[in-house]
Amino acid sequence: MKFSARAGSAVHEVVVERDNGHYVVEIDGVRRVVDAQKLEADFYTILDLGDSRSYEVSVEPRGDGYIVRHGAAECEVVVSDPSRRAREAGPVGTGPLTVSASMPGKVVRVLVVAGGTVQAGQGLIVVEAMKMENEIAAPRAGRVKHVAVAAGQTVESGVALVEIE
Amino acid sequence: MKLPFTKVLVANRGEIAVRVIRACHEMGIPTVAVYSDADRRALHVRFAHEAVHIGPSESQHSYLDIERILDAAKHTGAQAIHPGYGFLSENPRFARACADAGIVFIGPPPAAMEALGDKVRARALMQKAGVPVVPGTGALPENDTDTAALALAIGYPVLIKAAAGGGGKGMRVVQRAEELPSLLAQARGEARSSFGDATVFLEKFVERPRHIEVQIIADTRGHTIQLGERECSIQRRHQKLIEESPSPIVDPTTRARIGALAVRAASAAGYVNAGTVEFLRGADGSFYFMEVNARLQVEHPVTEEVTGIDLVKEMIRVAAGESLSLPQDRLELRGHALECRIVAEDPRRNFMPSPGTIRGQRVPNGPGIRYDGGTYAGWTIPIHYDPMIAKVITHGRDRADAIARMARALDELRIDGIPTSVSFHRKVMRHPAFIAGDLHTGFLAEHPDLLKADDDPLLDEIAVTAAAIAHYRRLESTAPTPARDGRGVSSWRHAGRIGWRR
Repeated sequence: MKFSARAGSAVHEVVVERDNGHYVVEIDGVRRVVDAQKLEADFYTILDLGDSRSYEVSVEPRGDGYIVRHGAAECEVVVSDPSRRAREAGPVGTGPLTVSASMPGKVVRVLVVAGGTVQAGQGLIVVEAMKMENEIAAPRAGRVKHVAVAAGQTVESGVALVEIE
Repeated sequence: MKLPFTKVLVANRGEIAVRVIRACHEMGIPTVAVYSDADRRALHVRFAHEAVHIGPSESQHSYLDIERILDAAKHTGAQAIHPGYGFLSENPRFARACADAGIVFIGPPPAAMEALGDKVRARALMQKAGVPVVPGTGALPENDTDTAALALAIGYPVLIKAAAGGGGKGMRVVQRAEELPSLLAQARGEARSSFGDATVFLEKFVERPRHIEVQIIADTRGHTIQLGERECSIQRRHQKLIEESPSPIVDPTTRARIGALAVRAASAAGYVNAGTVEFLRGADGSFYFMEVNARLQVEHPVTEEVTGIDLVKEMIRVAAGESLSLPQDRLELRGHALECRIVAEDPRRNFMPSPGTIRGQRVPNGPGIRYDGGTYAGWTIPIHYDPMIAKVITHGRDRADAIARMARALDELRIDGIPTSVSFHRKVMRHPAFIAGDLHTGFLAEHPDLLKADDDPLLDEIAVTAAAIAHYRRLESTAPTPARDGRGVSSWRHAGRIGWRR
């Protein structure tokens, strides 16, 4: 199975196969044989059969990829097959854009109305969680096409708040 | 053995409710938990013998609703209420309402809370009792020439503060006399626009201050003892993140001196039960009274570890009218204890709250480790309350030992599903200035690298390997044959299938 994996800004070409109960993982041409055992929920113990390294990781599916935690460090890996990557590589900075909640919480203020124009960095919605307010700003300038939430409403992380065009 | 109380209601949630319930159960006292809509499945509800629903998730209609909580106590026949910290713990109206309802409030008397809750009153009370406060003035005169004389008498640098102040508004540090007039005007303007009151006063600016506090406990029979100090200088936005006991800077002579000051402060306020007297220590070694926290503190476990005294049990006994379990001269401090507060905040995104569902959890264990937590795998941390998940406490023979244990414990701790402050704590435990004990409340501002995300050189490779395997397994479980890679069947795919688990 072949796909690409983006970790941070680097995109890696990955090939994974099974071999005798182990996994053969090839990252950018470097091949490793690992014994990966899933213990619970998202949790794996991994042994690199080449250099005997033993480590624990949690791999939590999120969106198009996974949040991988190793010790206290965390890394988001976005996985895509080559065809999807081509689809996604459209022009950036134009077209409609959905701004979504970056944390779960309660909408305390809506700062824009549908039809209004916004500048890049302008506050759109204020979400409160755990006694802390977080203002969600417009990533770029545009016209507000739709406001999907109202003050007082509870939102989950990733929920669409405002659509900008 | 007679129980201090036949039943105790815990008017709190999260890790502190669990902590109090544990103490009660060790004493053989049955417990009642209270819970809001968001907390039906919370750990404190599961641990308590009885649990009563007290309203919706918003705390003003549940954990802060005095009537609902007293109704729950009456309904279950609880004799006493432990308020934990936060919520109603320092509310004299609640303490009075408990007394009126014939229920014992496990905490200080309302009059003491009132005397200490008002900062101007508390400052005057301490000055009268001979406890040093930060040198300062009353409300400043309109005439800036008189103010300049006052500032000179205090000695630069001085701090201008708003009388109605809070949150740093109307506050200015004045380094030199010539800056005074313009900074006074700024502070007055800000105070007027923020609080509608332009009154300001001066205080000596304490440079590189350390936050050092003394735990005290008093019984109703006139005994007050101090249980040594805690240092809580590692703070972010005035929130304590790491605490320890003893303070690396306090020697036995100083300990005896500030301990005596703390006892004097408590006695002056007519204090009973557990409380904390907070001091600022200047770089010149002088200690100034800041305030009294009239409740159990979040960081009480570090004192428990070095003194061997269970503060919650002691609070319950004292509230029932019993004597303190030991006199001052029998108190011994053993070793060194550290506490790290694990919060649902994301260090990678400027400590933004990160409530959510904990998918997996492994708590640290082994020699010298204590874990006071309120969560479990499968628990969803609500958005309505403070972000604290747990406290990791380590105890060692000395400070270096306690730090090494903490670093090890943090490596073992796993909280999956949400970002937490664990990575921040791991870095602090390895930081030379922290290890050297060179602490002050501006520590994190001085070492901003500690607030940045972790650098793990192996992370990318490990993460891509793990994600690749997880992705393979996901596709494998959803499709009968794995997706083709477009290059035909590879030589080892067939061999791989033999090993497929069934």
